[in-house]
Amino acid sequence: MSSSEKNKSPENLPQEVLCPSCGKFVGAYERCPYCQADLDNRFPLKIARRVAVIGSILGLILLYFASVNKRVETISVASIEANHNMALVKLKGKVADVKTNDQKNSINITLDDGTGRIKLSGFDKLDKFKRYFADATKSDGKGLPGAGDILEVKGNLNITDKWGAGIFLTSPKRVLILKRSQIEKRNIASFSDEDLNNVFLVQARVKGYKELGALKSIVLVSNDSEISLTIFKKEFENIKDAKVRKALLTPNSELLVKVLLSEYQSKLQLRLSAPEKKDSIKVLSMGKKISNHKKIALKDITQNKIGNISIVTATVKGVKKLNGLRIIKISDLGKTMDLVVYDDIFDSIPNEKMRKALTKMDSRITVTVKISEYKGALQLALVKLTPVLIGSGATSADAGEIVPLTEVSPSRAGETLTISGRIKAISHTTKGSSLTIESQGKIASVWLGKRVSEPVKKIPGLLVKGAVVKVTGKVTLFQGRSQIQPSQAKDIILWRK
Amino acid sequence: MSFSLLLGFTLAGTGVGFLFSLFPSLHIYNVAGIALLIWQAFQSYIPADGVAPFFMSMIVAFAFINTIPMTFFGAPDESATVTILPGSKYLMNGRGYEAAAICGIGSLCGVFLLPLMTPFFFKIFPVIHRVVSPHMAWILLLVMIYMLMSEWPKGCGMGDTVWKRFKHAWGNLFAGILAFVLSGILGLIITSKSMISVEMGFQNIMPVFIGLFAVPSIVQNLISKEKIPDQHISDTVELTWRQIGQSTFQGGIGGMLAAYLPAVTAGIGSILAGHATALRGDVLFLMSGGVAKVLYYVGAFLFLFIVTPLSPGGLGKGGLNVILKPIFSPEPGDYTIMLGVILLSGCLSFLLLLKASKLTLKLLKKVDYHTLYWFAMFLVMVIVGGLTGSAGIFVMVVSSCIGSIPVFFHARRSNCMAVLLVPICLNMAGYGGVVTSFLGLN
Repeated sequence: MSSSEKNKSPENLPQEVLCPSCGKFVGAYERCPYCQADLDNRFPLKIARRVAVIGSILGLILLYFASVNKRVETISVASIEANHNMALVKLKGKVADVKTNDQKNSINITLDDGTGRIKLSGFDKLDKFKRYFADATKSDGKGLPGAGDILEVKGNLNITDKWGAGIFLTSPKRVLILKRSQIEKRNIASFSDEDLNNVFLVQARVKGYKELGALKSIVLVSNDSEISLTIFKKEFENIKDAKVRKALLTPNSELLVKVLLSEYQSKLQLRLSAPEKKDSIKVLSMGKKISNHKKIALKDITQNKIGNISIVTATVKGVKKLNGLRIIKISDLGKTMDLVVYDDIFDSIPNEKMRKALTKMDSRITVTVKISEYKGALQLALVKLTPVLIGSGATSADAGEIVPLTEVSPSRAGETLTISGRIKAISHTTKGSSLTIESQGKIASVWLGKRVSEPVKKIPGLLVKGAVVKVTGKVTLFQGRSQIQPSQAKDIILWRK
Repeated sequence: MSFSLLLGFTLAGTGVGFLFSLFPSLHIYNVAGIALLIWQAFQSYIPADGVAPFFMSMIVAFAFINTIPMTFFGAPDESATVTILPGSKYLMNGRGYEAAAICGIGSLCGVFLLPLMTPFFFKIFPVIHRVVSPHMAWILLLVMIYMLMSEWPKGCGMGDTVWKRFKHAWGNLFAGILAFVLSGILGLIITSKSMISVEMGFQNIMPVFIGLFAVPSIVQNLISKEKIPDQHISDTVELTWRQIGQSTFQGGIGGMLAAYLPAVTAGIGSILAGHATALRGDVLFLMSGGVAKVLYYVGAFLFLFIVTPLSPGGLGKGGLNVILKPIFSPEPGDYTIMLGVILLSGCLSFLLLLKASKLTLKLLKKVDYHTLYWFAMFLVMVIVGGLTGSAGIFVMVVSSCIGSIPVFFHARRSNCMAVLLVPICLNMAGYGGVVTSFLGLN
């Protein structure tokens, strides 16, 4: 192509390659070689690339140093709002609770900064926390933060509608223990609201305990003051020493306990501080069971025993609920007495099973009672925080104790008794066998149902007139008359005194 | 909640989502953050029950309408960095409207796919989650390795020296790796010790994402002298039933991966699904991209409502979950309501997409798109500056430089997702604290 042809401007060439001043073809020149006009040029990508690479590296370095040197803002729990989610914040407060889970390798700390509480969660971080806080070169070396310690924590807020605000602990370095709790030895009577969320050393005696669902409420008493020590099932299981666990549930045990004073429903209560640590509970003396009080039969209770605390075994025969108390009729060996159980004492019975046994008809119970009188009549009062031992429904004679034939009476209906005597008369019917037993001039009836009489008949010398037998069975009524009814063949045996 | 109130919030959310999705480079999560602040200010007047339908319909509308800036303005978000190329090709061939329609049909298929997958979501998905979640760290690590390695090899380069040929062949790959590494470091800094103020903590990551994805696109388009050719608005699209089936299948896999795996976007999910299914073609890319976008944005939020004994708190993830979790928790029974909201909003959004595409093309004939991009740049600066202050602007600028690397070196923009992938993977593996301690960020 000739130069004149090149310098022509064909209509089909794009505008960018033509000089805007003289219209001649200039290609990629930045200045027209013909008229020296400056030409619009396209932005070179090379510049963009260099700016991108250098800018990003330099910018990242600047950003890194800015972040490292950034001061994290301290906020209060009460000021946390929804738009603070994911923000990096600093919080200062007192540890209200520490929960660790070795299986899940997690640690949860509840921090109270005076304006509210927030949960600090370290999932799969417990071992790192333990190592860090045990290392004296990195921290004070006294172990994990405990209740009452003052902490400063840095972390990203995690706010959810369901669980509220919390912080995920990503590193133990973000938890700074400003002050370890000084554990002061205090008397129960001296506790007040100002002492809330502080850890104390308390020496007290176990008065008793009761189980409430997933926790045990142990009543500690010291110098006539008492307070509840609440231990959750998991915390109780974390107590490694079996002796300590036993002492906590044994009345009269003397303990020296590290506790956190808290409150529940406006009532002061104690919680164990770090139950998994050996030194948090010391058993000064093991208590004795209250059941070491003397046992006494109902029939032996007399006026001169008023004021005594004794253990009685009897059968529940009736329950009457009155305002503020229950009157339970108990019976043993023909003697019936009233057992008064006030509502607060009923509530103090250690568990639901025991409470049910106390009010269930015909249940056999062993209880600790105080002998008293009311309007001239002897009565028994259940002692607070004592267990209700549950029998099998057998009588005190269920160990084989033989009772006089006169005991076979309508008042003993439903009870299992053991009698012995000579067979005076036998009559067989299609439905079973009826025996008349005689002993010391008294007689009693025994009925053997077909299922029992058939195998018994096969025992030589047993079902014959004159044989001396021992029979154990339930007292039933037939046509208004009481009789003993054994339930199995082995309940009737030949008896030699 | 009464039907009229539910309908009202759904329509309102669709409307808001429609309006704001038209802006190039403006992400719906930014809008959601602003909406949350407005809701907090007026929460005594707005019923709490309206939160879920409003935001769900907003995100559904975004999943559809976002196609318009993506296709016509070349402004992809983090979910669409793979599909932008076929869309641009269609646009330059005068078939931009068809590209938007195909993408919209894909999104519509995604909307209908979600209710059909309900039995899977409630019966099988929670079990999968139980099994997979303890292994998430190494799964994400594999995703990252795959993202990087799937770009290799690229073939031989051109040039008259060995160095020039090497540079030509491998330059963009190393640029991609550089973008990945720098994004990862940026992510570690931002997630462990953010510069953003406490009051805007929930928008910690906003300047980063705007910088990594929005600003480079704006800059790129401002530099570009490309003229959009005349577009033809057709009544039909080049699509067969077989392609619909294949796209739904591919997009479904990609979208589900993106909806479930943390920090994995629809773009990354589409790469994985595309390689897994070995299906190729521009139509497939466009349509499966639409399916994946709906599953990614809408599905991730819908998973929050899968309340089962194995998943009592739902299985949701994603930016909208993070923004809303302080004020909202799902109840059993909400899932069905959300399905209704998705269906209604999705169908409306599809119709709006077609209409809006036509209007946009008419507008583009009269208005230079550079003007729109200058406005978009101004808008993002105002949003970032207004919400997060100078610290946010600084972070945005740094992120923009990093995000510009794949743009100008022709590498994969999805490599910038290392900003979340790396910190999340490290934290899940239990090494996040170690790394940040090493960097002095503790």
